[in-house]
Amino acid sequence: MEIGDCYIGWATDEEIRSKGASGGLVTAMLAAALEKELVEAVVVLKKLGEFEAIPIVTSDPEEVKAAAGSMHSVPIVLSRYLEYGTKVALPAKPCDARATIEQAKRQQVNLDTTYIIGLNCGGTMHPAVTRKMLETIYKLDPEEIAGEEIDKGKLIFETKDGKEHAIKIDELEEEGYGRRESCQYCAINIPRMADLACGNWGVIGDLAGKGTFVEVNTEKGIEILQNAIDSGAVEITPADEKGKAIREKVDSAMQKVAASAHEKYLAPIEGSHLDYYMNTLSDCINCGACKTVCPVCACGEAAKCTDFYSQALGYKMSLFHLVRFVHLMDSCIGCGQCTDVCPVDIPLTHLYRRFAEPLQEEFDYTPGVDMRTPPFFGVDLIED
Amino acid sequence: MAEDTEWQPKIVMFCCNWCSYGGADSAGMGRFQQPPTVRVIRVMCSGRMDPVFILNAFLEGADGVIFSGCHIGDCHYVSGNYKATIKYKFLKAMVNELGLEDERLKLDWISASEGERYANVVKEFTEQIKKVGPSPLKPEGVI
Amino acid sequence: MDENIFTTVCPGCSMACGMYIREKEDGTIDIDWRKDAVVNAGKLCRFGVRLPHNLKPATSMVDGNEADLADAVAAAGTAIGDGAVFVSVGNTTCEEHLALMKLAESKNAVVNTGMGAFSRIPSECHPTMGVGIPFDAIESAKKIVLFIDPYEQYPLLVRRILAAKKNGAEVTAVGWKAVSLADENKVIGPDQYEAELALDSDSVIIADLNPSSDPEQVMVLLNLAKKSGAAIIFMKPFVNAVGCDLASKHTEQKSFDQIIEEIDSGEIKTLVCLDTDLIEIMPDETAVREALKKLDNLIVITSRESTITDVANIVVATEPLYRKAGTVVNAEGRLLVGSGTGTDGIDAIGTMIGQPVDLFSELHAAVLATVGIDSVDERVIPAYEKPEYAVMEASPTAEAVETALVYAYNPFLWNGIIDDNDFVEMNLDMVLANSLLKGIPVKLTSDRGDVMVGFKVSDVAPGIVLSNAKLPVTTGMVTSVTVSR
Repeated sequence: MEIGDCYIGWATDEEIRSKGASGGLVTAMLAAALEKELVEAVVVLKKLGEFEAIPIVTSDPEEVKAAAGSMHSVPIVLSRYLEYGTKVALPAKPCDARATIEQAKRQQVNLDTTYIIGLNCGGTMHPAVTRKMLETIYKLDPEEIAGEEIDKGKLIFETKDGKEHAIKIDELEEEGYGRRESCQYCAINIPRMADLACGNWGVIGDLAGKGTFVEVNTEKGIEILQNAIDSGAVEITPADEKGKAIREKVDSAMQKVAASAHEKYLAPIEGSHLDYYMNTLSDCINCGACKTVCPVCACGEAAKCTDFYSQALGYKMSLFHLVRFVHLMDSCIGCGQCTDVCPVDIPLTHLYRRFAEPLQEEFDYTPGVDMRTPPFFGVDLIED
Repeated sequence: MAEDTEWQPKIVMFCCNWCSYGGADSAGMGRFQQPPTVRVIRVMCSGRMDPVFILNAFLEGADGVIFSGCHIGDCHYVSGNYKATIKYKFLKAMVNELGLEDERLKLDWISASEGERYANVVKEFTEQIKKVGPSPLKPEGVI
Repeated sequence: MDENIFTTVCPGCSMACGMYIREKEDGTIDIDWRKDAVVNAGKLCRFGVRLPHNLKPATSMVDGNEADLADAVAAAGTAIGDGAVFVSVGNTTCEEHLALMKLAESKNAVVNTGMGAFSRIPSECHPTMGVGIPFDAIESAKKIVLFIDPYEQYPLLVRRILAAKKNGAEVTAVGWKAVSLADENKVIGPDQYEAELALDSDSVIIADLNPSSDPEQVMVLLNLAKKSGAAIIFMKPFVNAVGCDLASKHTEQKSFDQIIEEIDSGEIKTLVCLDTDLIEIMPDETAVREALKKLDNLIVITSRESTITDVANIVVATEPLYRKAGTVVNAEGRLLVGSGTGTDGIDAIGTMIGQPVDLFSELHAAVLATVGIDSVDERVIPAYEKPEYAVMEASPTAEAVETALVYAYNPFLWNGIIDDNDFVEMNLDMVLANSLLKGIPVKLTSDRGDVMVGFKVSDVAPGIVLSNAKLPVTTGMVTSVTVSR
């Protein structure tokens, strides 16, 4: 097995195969990593309801198996739950993987002991929006939902009576539902920065729906996949060229969609930028949630954005936000967590992106895709 | 003294200890004329300039901010002014996106012997700020 | 790495925002966002985000010495005799409140919930004062009148009001400080409300009801709703204030002012507080502290260490709210149940009554029966009957003072949190007239002495010094002060 290889894999365990998405490869790899003591712990989402799950750090393979299955309505970034030095594996959407790498640059995570099993991602949905969408567009009772999946541009809900209900994602997003706005314009669908990139794109023929396409990106990727094969938990077969091409095609189609969403949500600001930012931030109640939840912020309690700012100062704009804007210019990965938790619904991710994109372009720097030092700290960038 | 009715901007200027602060000194000793618009804050190195300082200056009511250090290659700490250059790029991008006029922020290199240049920088920058007018970020009640 | 995760509600105010609490092995806690929570979609205000800093677990004490829970319970059981007065504002579950009611009943007493306004207003109004309207209904209102500052007092209402504005609602704020989301800010007296506000049946009135609310003012608002047909919601500063009021069925109660007075005059000798800190709650902290010293027995049953646990004779420490089994009712009337299973508090009170086992299930059934439902579903607000009431005579008296220090009863600050809200707000004219300087504290002088405090220039009415924090010079909701440098 070499870096760059592509395979189709599946779990050997019947139960995992039926419960997990696309053959249960990821679940089986995570469980095998624990069982064979390749890692001490695994970060997974513990399911509490159809639209509700909470990240847990567990050493129990049974809990890993219980967490199998996709959850598009739980938009959480897992990197926050990693602990430095623990040998740990995590399933990672591109934003999870990128956040983990950014955390590693800030010495919050040790990449050498962290196995990132990347998952292709076409976007996630906020549970509150999902519920409302089910009621108003699908005309379904959210409590009747038994599962969901995204396939061929459609969002499909399965109800407890076994019926499937599919609506085109474009149409849903037209109405203001569907995926989170930041997911709509996210252009990274295949997590090539992770140790492995897994997903169902490119699984064709007899294996469609029964296997997971996996691209090996690093030595650690080989290690964790080989471990699962050696322990008998997983079987693989090389992916054929046609499958690879289809995977690429899906990716580039998704990127095109993302580009048009980008134009929609990050359209140039009309009129005064300063007025726009002052108005947008005027509802801020200084809760600090956006910073607390931010997966690329590693400042902790005593941070510049909070320590130098107090409401008593009576500034026209909050220094807290201005400092966050600067700090995130080279680091924002656009994961959307800040918008999710903002109690006054400020579209923070859009704001951070507006500041970050010109600068990330200027320095030709994409955060979270490799270990390159952020430009702010990289003196080597200056040409004389 | 006749009352000067023309609006005088408030400019905060961060000078590095080794070059630009000396430049300010030379400007004084050389009696080069300069407008009384600048409040100088000494920092040890232009590389010490934190974006927070500059943002804070604007929020406190500064109409313009200059930060200044040794010429490239002359930094007392070897590479401080390179770091300042990067920070300046960040801040420029910030100020542009924020919609604060581009002219309000300036980075300049002034050595300890360049008294006249110091005075000229202050003069030119003051004129520039007078053209763009008071900062829209000035808090209520701050003159 | 091992941790217990609880699905729970934020104990800050009667929004009862859903959240997770991660309790680590060493007992420290962390919060996490529960994005599927129906009340708040997982969003939390500053209080919720900083909850780990704000919650300190209580320790059982007898006469100033640390004690076992069992010993503290036994001591409390002996000390609570006839004539004891009971208070519980709603910082705990309905079930625990009911347990206290049982204990009170056995001593021929009632539990006072602190909302003195209830006893002064005809009982047919109580359901309207208790349960408000669904927060979703705020979003579809055509007109919203605010008698609160949502940013400071109930921050999670802000997004509801903003959503309403997006749907075309017009927002008017009545109060000392301009609220930035309001289309119109008005500083008007109660006699002008009707003419100035022009409400109709598509309007929503959002007000606040707390232990220091003036009953006459509450009546004015009830009248306003009655005459215009507008919906009204009274937000409350305690997470389960509504639940406690439902459970107490508005038995003839005393206001806290009355209770403090009677303690002061020696009529009350034993006071039992269930998760209620009078020192924090009452604006005049000094007076409360002085009065409490005159008690023979101050018994505090609480999950949280606070100012009153320092002066109590007996502290019965119970588990924090997130670990408790039981229900909480928020301002909408929504019943919420967390994943906690603890019954330490109920069992402790049960022991005092002589019924130490399985009191919980009996009480939980009683809660459901009171509301008239079979089981709790957090996504369905039970139907509450709100009888018609007649327009009442009401004449709120506003104290006329030249410069008024107004304590802006912010629910979250009772926990004595001096966060970065430790400043007063006044308008620019007042700052200039008193030659105050930016960055230098202002001196406020009242009968109680003086205090130096930071200030912020805000759009506040003339003559008003607004404070979110309770200052040592405060003698009531409004304190006459002089401002100097």
